[in-house]
Amino acid sequence: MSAVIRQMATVTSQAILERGTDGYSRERSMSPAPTLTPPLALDYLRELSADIRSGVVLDPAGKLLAGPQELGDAARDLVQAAGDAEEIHVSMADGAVFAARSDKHALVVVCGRLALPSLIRYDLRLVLADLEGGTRPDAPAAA
Amino acid sequence: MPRLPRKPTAPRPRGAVGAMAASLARRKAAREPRVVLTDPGGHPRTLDPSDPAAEPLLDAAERLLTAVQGRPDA
Repeated sequence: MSAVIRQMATVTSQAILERGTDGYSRERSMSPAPTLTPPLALDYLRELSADIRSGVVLDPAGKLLAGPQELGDAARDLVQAAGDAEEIHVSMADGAVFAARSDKHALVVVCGRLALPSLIRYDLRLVLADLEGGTRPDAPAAA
Repeated sequence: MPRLPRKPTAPRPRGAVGAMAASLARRKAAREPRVVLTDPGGHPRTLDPSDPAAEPLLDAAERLLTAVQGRPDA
């Protein structure tokens, strides 16, 4: 390496340092990835599965955090009627409703009749874990 | 290892008629209400639709499905 090339690298790094450009050639911070917000969680769920028509995110008291207002009351009733169950699956002739909850959030989604329960439940647990900033669940076993 | 004799089963229609009957039965079963609750230990429990505990769940699910069907983006 010639002296000119060595000098160029030093000048560049010094210029970056003086400008206070953050994150360039530095180690990433050890803090965990930022958690999802409730509205982003719903968007993410709808991207994960085309079978999900709509959904809501509730807090432990049943307050609507994200999603259509008109689904809030029925979603709250569903979660409250399930007792201490962690996951709920109700399928009917016109479609299916799935819910999963943790200590901080409850996710309720409405799906078409052909939604695959194991995949929807996995997606719910995945997004719930991201909402909490916790560990993601293992992928479902191949059928 | 010697094979055990086959257990007798109820007679079922075979051939095209049997396939059609099975298909109709599957369709009917798929449209029946079904409630499954999973406890924190990961154990699923299927509730009978006539179970009193299933009624509020079915009612809430019905309301959710109706509300979503009325939405233009659903």
